[in-house]
Amino acid sequence: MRRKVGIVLLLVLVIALFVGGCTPEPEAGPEPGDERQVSGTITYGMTGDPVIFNPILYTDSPSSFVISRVYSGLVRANENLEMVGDIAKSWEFSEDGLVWTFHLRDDVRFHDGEPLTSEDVKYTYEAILHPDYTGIRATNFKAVDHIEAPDPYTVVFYLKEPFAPMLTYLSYGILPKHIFEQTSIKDMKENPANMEPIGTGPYKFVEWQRGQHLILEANEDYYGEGPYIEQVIIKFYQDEQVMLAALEKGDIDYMGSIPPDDIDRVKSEHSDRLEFVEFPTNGYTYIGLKQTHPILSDVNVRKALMYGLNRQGIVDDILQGYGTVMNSNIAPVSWAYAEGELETYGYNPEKAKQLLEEAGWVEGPDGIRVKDGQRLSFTLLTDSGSKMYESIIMIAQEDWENIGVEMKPEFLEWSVLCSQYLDVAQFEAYMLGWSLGLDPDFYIFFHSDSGVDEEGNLVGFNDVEFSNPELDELLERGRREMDQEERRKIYWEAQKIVNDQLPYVFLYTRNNVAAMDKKVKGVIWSTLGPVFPELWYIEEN
Amino acid sequence: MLNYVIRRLLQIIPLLIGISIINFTIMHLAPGDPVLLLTERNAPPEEVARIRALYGLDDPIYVQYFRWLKQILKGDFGRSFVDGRPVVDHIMDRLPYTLYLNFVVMIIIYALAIPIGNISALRQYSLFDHVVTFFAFLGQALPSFWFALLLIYAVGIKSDWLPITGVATIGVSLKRHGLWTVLVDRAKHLILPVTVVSLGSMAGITRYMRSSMLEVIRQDYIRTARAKGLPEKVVIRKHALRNALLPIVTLVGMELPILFSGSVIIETIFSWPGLGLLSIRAVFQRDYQIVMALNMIGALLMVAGNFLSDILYVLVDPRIKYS
Repeated sequence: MRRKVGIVLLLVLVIALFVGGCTPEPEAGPEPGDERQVSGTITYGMTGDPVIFNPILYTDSPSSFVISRVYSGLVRANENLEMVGDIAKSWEFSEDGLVWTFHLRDDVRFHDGEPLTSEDVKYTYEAILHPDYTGIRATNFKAVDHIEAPDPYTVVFYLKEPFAPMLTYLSYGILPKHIFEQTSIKDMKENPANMEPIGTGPYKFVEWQRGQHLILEANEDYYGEGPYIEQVIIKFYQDEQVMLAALEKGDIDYMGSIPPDDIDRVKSEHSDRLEFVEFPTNGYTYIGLKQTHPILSDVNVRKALMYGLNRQGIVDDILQGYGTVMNSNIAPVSWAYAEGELETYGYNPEKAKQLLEEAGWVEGPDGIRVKDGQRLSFTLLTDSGSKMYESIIMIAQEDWENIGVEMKPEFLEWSVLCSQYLDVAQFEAYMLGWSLGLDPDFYIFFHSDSGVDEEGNLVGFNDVEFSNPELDELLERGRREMDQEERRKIYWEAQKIVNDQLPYVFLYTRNNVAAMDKKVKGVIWSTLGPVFPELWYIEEN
Repeated sequence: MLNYVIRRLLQIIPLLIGISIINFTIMHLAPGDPVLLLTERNAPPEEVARIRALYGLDDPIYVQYFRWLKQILKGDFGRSFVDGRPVVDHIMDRLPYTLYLNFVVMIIIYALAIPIGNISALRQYSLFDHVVTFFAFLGQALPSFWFALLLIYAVGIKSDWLPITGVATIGVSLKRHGLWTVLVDRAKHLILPVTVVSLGSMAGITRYMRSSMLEVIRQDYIRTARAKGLPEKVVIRKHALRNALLPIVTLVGMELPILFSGSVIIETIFSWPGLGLLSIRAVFQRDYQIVMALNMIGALLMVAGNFLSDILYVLVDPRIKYS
């Protein structure tokens, strides 16, 4: 019997040795650089696992995080969310906006030593335009007619029609053609370089232990300034609370979003070691109202719903104050946000009641208003997975009942909500959130062409079927105009129309609170989080 | 006996085919569509159709089933929709960790539960029995995610010694640190997850052992053994314990599928890279190939485990015979 126990224990030991594998150590003793040493390690925490390290195929944020460090694109966003050159030194648009010429740096090399040329850029974007392309980015380049690479350091995009928002999409990482041409475009997902990426970015891929960690190391041949941090470790967690515990314990140096309920406690306990930075997110939560609905089609009813809902109260109570009330559809972080120009719809139940009275809705026997025998009542759909949404809906139900409006919530499983209601544009109202791109263009949200076509198919994201000729015209002009100042004016007008006509009850945009260990210096914070990681450095206390 | 074994083995084939058909159908009937998860929330219909055709998802369901069956019979589990990686690689990444954790847990459970259940039975209604019963029910009743988080906050954060998540410390390797350091490091990482899983599953086996023992010591042959004048120690060890262990031994067969199954909750909280997380992610992403592979492996193990149980019964209990 004793011998058997011994065998079992031995087995456990053997298994214990095999799992986990071995991990490389950071190379010791960095040579002193000209100004700043390349040294230290930064450890990030992340929830969820990355899926694929391919800049034109990925769809999840953990992958995006790794890709942004391993790959580099023609352009990238700076701390003000404006596009600046990365691989591209400079670029110019033709007068009519149809020819975009990019001049590339000549000192960019992939991590395997091959130089990056215009052929790689052409290959990357042609892959997206290819009919066999399996990713989701083709619609962003619908305007492109063809791409040319007249010399190794010049790339020219020829467009069928001017499309200014495309500049933000030219930030996708450039794929090494010499590695990816080994697989057809259709089978691109099966290329091994998707798992062990070879890019041109400041960090080189070292290893990935699925579900555990991922290691990157400084790219000594990086063409730009930096990187100064020698090693990047990303630890994967599956649960936010556990990741928070790891932050508190010191297992990780950075957490991008601390749960609102814990912010005050963590701040008070750990501010000697951690720096806390609060920044708004580029997105918002809203209640979409069907514009063709017999009741909700009346703009005064929609305005009454805005005035009758204590949105600041929602931000204070549900988000613990870590958020901002939204009044239109461009987030305050955008350069096109019309600050101070929008109607704020402060909580005013009296005004809401008055608007409803004027619209002919009078109080019925049970307190719910009626007009021509019809009750002021509608059904609101939402995702059943969110506690936060549930609480917000309870507040809305109560607030609106106060002004004589009945809202009946219905909670649905995500895939059911999408496939049976939203994707076919069949609903009275629904509550969800959008996360937005860097360009203010919102054609796909509210242009009448992005709604339901003659066959009843939803074409864009305009599932509320908002239609306003004046807005349509502005959105079309915004896509054609290449000058940022001109575009800013156009989107100011456009969001004022949305603010006035209210296709949605706009709720809020969330603020993130991130924590970064104070040993990490030189961090540049954009309004969406830390940027330019190659410029940061470590100073151990 | 041989006849019985062959017959049972042959029965497994139609059973597995039946299970695979049901699995495949349920999965395809469930709402949600992998294509919608691959595309944007409102990708144009022609874009969706194009991607659906690329993956062969526009074929009738029976065509898809037979394609899948043909592929499985060739020993090919296919590739994940989401990242294009072979399903076998996905499973082999995770399986060692699940086996490792479950193996340790199982040893601890049996090593503790059998003696505890035993003593509990022999001293029925003693203080020990009451305490054990109390903890058995407590272990069963505590939500494991809650208990796990509690341990992390109460023990993990407070002590520098005990890691809260993961399998091993990054950078600790055999080459650099030697066998002892690596083993200690691995063992430390096991402490919290093993504690949580064991406490949750020990209750059942303890109670099982207790009632089995209680039943046996009331048997006539025990009374006979005592009447023969055998010392109580020998009665218990030779006559009672051996017989009481019979049902427990056959439980081992049932444990086979459990050994291979990951626990989503434990893996989520302790960032343990096992099969549970792989399967839950595959289900959420409607990654059919992975879901089917895992379901079929689960079904196979379940069937095999049952079979093993039945055979073990015959081997350990001479009263049972199959023909």
